[in-house]
Amino acid sequence: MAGKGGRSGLTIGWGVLGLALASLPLFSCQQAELPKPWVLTAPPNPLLPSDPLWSKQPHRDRPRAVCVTPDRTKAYVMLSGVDDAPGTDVAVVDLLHRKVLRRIALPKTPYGCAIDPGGHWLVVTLRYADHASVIDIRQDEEVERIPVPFYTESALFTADGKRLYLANRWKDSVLWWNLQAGSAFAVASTNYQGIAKEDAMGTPVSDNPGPMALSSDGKRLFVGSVAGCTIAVLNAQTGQLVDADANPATTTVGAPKGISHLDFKSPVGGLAIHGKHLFVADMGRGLGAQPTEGIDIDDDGKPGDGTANQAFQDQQNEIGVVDTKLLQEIHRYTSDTIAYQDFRDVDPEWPEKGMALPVADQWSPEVVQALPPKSTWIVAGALPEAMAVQDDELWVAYAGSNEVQGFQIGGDGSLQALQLAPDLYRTGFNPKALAAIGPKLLLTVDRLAEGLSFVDVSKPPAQATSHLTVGDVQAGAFPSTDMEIGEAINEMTAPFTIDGDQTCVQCHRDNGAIARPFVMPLQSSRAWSLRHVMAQRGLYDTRPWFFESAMDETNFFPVLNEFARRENFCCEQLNMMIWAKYPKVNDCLKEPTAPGCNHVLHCNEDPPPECKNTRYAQVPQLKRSEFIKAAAKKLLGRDQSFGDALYKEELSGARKPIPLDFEGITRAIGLFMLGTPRLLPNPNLAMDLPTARRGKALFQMTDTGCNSCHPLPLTTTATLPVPFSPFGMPVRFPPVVTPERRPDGSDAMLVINTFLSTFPDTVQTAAGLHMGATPLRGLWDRPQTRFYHDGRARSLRGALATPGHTALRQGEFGHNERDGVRDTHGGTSHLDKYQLQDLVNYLLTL
Amino acid sequence: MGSRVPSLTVQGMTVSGRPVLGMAVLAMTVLGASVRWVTVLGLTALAASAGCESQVPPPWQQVPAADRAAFEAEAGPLLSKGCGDSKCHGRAERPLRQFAVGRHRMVASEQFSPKPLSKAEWDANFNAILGFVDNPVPRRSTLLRKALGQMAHGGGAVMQAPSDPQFQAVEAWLLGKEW
Repeated sequence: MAGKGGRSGLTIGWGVLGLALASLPLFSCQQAELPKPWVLTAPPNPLLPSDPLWSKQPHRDRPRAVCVTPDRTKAYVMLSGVDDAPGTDVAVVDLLHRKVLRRIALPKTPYGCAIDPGGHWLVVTLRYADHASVIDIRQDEEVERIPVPFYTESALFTADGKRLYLANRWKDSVLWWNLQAGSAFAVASTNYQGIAKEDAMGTPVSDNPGPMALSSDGKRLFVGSVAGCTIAVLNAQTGQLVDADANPATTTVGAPKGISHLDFKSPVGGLAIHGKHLFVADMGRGLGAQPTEGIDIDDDGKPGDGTANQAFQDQQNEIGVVDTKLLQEIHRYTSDTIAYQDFRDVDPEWPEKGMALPVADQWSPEVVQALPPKSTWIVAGALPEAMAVQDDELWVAYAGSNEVQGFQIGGDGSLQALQLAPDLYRTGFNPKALAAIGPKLLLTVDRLAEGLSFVDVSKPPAQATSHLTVGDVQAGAFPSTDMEIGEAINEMTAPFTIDGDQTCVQCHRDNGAIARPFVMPLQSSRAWSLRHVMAQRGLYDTRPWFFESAMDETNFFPVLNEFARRENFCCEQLNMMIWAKYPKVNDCLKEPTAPGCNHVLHCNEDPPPECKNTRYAQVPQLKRSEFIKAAAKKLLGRDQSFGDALYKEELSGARKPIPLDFEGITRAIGLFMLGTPRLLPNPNLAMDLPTARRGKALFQMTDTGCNSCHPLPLTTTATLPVPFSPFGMPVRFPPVVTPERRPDGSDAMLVINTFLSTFPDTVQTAAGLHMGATPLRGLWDRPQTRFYHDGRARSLRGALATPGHTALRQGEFGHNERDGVRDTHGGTSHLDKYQLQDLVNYLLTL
Repeated sequence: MGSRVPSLTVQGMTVSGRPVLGMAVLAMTVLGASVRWVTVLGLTALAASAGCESQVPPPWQQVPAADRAAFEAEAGPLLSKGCGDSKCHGRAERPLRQFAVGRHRMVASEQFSPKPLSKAEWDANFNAILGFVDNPVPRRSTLLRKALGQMAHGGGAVMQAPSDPQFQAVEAWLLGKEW
């Protein structure tokens, strides 16, 4: 077009073109949908309907964590579900009216959470997903998904809301987001952006970090490792471990140099801050009393594991107080029934008793002197985890005994108990989270009860608690199946223990393991009888269990027995301090009227007077099974099974429930372990890296020999129903590494006769105790500082490498030798260090 | 995450890149700006980014002065052994020449000698390797990209992935970290 009209046409043409070009990007780039996370899925449960132990399990939501808005009007409860049916919802609860408002659906299982100080954003970490969700809590809608590595579990905002810290269980590290100021939730940068997912990320801390706390001045971040048993100390501004700090401006004057981890030697269940004091909930690290010989388990330079009775039965429930400026523990408080109330009590008020016990159980006055002062025996519940500070009071939830206890905090961080047993506040089953939601008002998340407890601590305990269901109880209140009975006992074992202090999960946190071995009553010399904690995952197809390959779902006697030994119950007639002076049962059967036989033959009705003088006399039951049944009745409302999986079949074919006595609870826990705690889906496997593929080839080669004794896919030779015996090899093996020996050279590994009689097919020869090939699946999630049955290998490389192998890093020792002969635990001396690392990287995909 | 292209946040919705420029263009059109400028901006908006989501490069890392002693202890033996074959980099004429035990040696009379490398040979290997570390981000350097087969390399991919222990050992050395 030419001339004026032509120019107008050209202008219009340009305009149309311009508009078209301009609008094209506008309409082609709408706001992106929320990204789809990569999700991990566990393989199917091997416990199938064809198994006689299978029964249909109810759907459960299993609330496990809570975040409360700053104005305390709403709570967001993470509904994590169970391993077989992971949850996806967050329940929104109106705290003023105590009702569930709605649920927010997320792409995968909500696990941990944090609300920003401004009260706008709820960040939810998702188990099994590689993103975290951000919810705008003004609309209760998910508005963002931010990439994170798998198994990012807990989150914590700084006081100014500018940074969010995240603890990651896969990378065993601390990550963070720097947040952009503004009305939208925007991550300006992270400390892991641009890093490949297979690489190390963040600030490394110890195994399986969980609880976090910021110091009151905001300068230090404390990160507790549940499995690693330490607390890492980070500079909150730089995100680096404190001893890596070069900047004196951020280092507190007077802080000791070189401290980046506080070694608690005990799983760190919870953290709370008050002023300059950090409160730590753990299970204690022993009483300071030392045996005269044995392996140095806790690296204190002395033999033993630091427990008075030299066995794991004196698990404690403890609270440590750390000065956050000095980074030193200044107070420690322990269980109210220390050293577990047993016939072998270590009791400072009965010092002469120790030497009157049988030789194997004796303890000396030195042991008594090693006990902490009785004024510190104030932690009254079992399994302290969640804690909350309100004004000058510290509140602690006990997940193993369903209680809450308060402590008055002194100016020096010392604690005075506000309640003592038996007057603690009751909660629903298994309180896993605790929040202060008002003056004198606490909220617990009761995981197994599928609900919340509101605890008004201004009232007496009997009137203080009300409950709200937030989960799924359509199939009935928990427990409603025999497997759920087993789960209940596994988590809330305390009522079944003689001192009310112990639980299975104290060592098996989240059904896993911790980096601390314990002495078990297995070997003739107890101090040498050290056993690493095994994980409670993937157990269905790896029976018989334990290193000795001896125990299964019907019998793990050496463990359960320790919680409430028969010797504690007078009429079991095993306490020789009483029964040595009475006739034997056989003699009384021949002559029932002989003096004392009335007590021997009719103890329940006519116990000997000495029974009243025992330290456990307050327990009314005189026999263990009666005690356990009474505990089941009190805790669960029943003293027999439901009969859906645990039953006795009569000749008529009718099935009758079994009593929940010692054998009954053993079978219930065994049933639970078969069916429920599953192997966590492995993100290393999901990445399919070349190093792992090469490592698998090495694993399968005959000159390394791994696959011979740890045959894939189960990685163990212990399988049911038919024992697996490749190439004619025995199911159990003599020691493959140098066994423990006493100073005189004798074999310290020989087991006691009680163990042999309990497990008759256990093999013991002159070569010592024979053990099974330990399952390797789930290795990636276990503590990476303890391997082998006694935890002697402090890294996977140390477990695989021969002494002096080039693959070993500084401080590592290769254990693949027996009495100086190398390659007794597979052939690795011929591998170069890169091949050994390939092998390690493969094992981490199992 | 941070972005270098313009962004605008309204009511929780953040848009960046082309849409922002597009909106600017529309605004100018409405306001009667020169259509030529409108067109120019429109073309610019199209070219501004390759997609709706901007690619954020990772932060630059400064490669610390690569440690000579650490080279001889860890990465050097790996590279010497792995790369110093006489068919590959164990040849005098190669820019990335590597002396190796039992292979190419600095002194002619010592060819294929099993003696340990001399200081001069280690120095030469060190300098040759550093000549191919041409990026502050080690895994973007020619050295490691060729090793992974990400650049034309006669030897192909001699390392399979950054997760390989050998790769990590070399990268750790370049970053001044311990592997």
